[in-house]
Amino acid sequence: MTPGGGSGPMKDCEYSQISTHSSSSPMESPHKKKKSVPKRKWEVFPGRNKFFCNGRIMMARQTGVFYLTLVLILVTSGLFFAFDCPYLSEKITPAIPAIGGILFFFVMGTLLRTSFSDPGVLPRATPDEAADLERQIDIANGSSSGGYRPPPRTKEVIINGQTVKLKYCFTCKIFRPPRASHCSLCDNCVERFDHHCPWVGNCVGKRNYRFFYMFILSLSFLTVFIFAFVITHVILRSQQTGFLNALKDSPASVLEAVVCFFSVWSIVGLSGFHTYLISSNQTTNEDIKGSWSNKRGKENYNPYSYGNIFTNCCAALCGPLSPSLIDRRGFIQPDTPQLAGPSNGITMYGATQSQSNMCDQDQCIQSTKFVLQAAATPLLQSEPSITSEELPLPGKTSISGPCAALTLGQPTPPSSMPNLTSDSGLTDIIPLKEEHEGHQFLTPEEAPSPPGMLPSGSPITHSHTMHVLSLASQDSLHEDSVRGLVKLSSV
Amino acid sequence: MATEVHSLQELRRSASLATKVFVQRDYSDGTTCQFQTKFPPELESRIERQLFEETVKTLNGFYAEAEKIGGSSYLEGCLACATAYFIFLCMETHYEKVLKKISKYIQDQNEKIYAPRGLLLTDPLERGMRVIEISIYEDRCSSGSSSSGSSSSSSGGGGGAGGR
Repeated sequence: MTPGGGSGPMKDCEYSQISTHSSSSPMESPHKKKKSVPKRKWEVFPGRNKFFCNGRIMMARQTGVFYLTLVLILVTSGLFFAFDCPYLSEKITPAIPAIGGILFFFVMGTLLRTSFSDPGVLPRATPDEAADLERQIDIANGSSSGGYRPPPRTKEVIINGQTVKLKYCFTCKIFRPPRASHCSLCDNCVERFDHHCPWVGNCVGKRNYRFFYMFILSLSFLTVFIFAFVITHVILRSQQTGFLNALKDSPASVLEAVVCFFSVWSIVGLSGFHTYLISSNQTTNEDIKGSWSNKRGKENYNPYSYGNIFTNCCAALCGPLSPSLIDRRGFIQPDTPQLAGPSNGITMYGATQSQSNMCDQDQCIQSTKFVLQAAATPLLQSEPSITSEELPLPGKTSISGPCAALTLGQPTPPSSMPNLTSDSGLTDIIPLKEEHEGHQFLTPEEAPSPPGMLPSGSPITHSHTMHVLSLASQDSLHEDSVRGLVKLSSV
Repeated sequence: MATEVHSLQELRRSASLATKVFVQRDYSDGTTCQFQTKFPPELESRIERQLFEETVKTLNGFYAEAEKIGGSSYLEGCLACATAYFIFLCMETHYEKVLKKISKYIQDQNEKIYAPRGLLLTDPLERGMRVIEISIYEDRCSSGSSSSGSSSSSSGGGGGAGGR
């Protein structure tokens, strides 16, 4: 525990004394660790993503199907250029490999863009924001509605005359903006969430939807192109040497034809579906749920649509591209100067410390502090180190399990989740995911967290802030910890 | 940036964080980035309503400009599409340019209006475009919020003088 002074009431000056001296002794060991290796933010990113090239590339955790997609495209195109193009460029025109090359380049470019870019992930709320929201929700619901199962947290907004419900995300501790959704596979809230595509190895959201659409569109053209010219090649050959001999001469063509035949239906179908979605300015999510369909009621209409197809298309494909909200390659602030200052700096430092020490015990510790801090906010000048990290709940993996299995079990249609041709299984998963998320997260979120025991061997920052906290009103702490324990027992 | 950091560090050294106010998003226009212009009650005694509203309205204007769908954004989009989006590797998008303007504006506002009143605006970009975070600082050694100059000199000794 920090020996820092200030055993009396929370006087500003005494607190500043602690903070100024902190740089000299108790902070030194974590400081030294920090100073030697400044971490980038992607290294402590809370979602389930994989990062490559020092944070430049961002993908989902399961990338197996993406490699399959790459292999299929590369092998088929490679075989086409190696075996069919020489014959065709001689017999017909060299423009064929040229156009094929352009299409292939476009397909690969858009595929890599879709897979590697940030789909529009919303960063999780800072502890201050989360605490503020909790306070507002408590005020709105009335403290009497506390207890084990508080009502689900929603906010209603009127957008262009339609009432839209904004849901509270228990993982990210934010009210999701309209059209955003939480992806259970990646464990992130994504803006304008379309779907999670295993073929692309990433979510499809606001920032990469146009790349995804251009990918499937150009892939449809490429598939049709290769299929058509492979058939042409075989026909031309068989005119000279007979059909069976033609097949024997170019066995690669057979393979290409088979691959293209099975893919063309699903890819072209998917392109058509997404063209419809773009022209009506809906997401796959909304379409599957029937959020804006007339079946829900005569007055139900899509408030985001611009009215005409052309504007909708232009807005989706040529509209401005918002930048990534998660600063992947930024450095976690070393916070040495800020420690000498007020809590603004300490919050960040502490948050990063706690993020880098990700283990259950630490989460408990941080959760405790969160409870204490929420209770004692007006009395405190510093905010303790808190993250809004969650204990990984089993519910999530159970959802992602069947999802992944279902999509992998249908190799032919390369549609993503939710699948076009799929059965109700997949469509059930999407609303199920949200319910699960709500239920699973309800109790631990609601607490806001179960209080752990005050650590004896915790990192110095924690003990530092805990020391500060212990000076605050002990009654409210006690009450909160009791409340938290009660909630913990109900999990 | 250096000047602002310097003066804001002074503010931080001389004052301590009392609380934070969050200005939430206004979704009544759809998913475009707009913030509520409602005046938070915690700022009642700190800043004039009109100044605050003007800041938020200007920010809203900037965001609307960034997300505007019109001739230039279409051109940019079509050009990017034609180059299979490789052009984004070299060029800065219109949105990014406007975000730089916004960040400058916020810095400017902080220096001129908010820091002298013991407040600090945080760029919404750092908070995932969800909120405008306004940090309210209490002056350590005087109840007034505008005397950060004098208090910075007194606490300039690193707060070593514990008793005050």
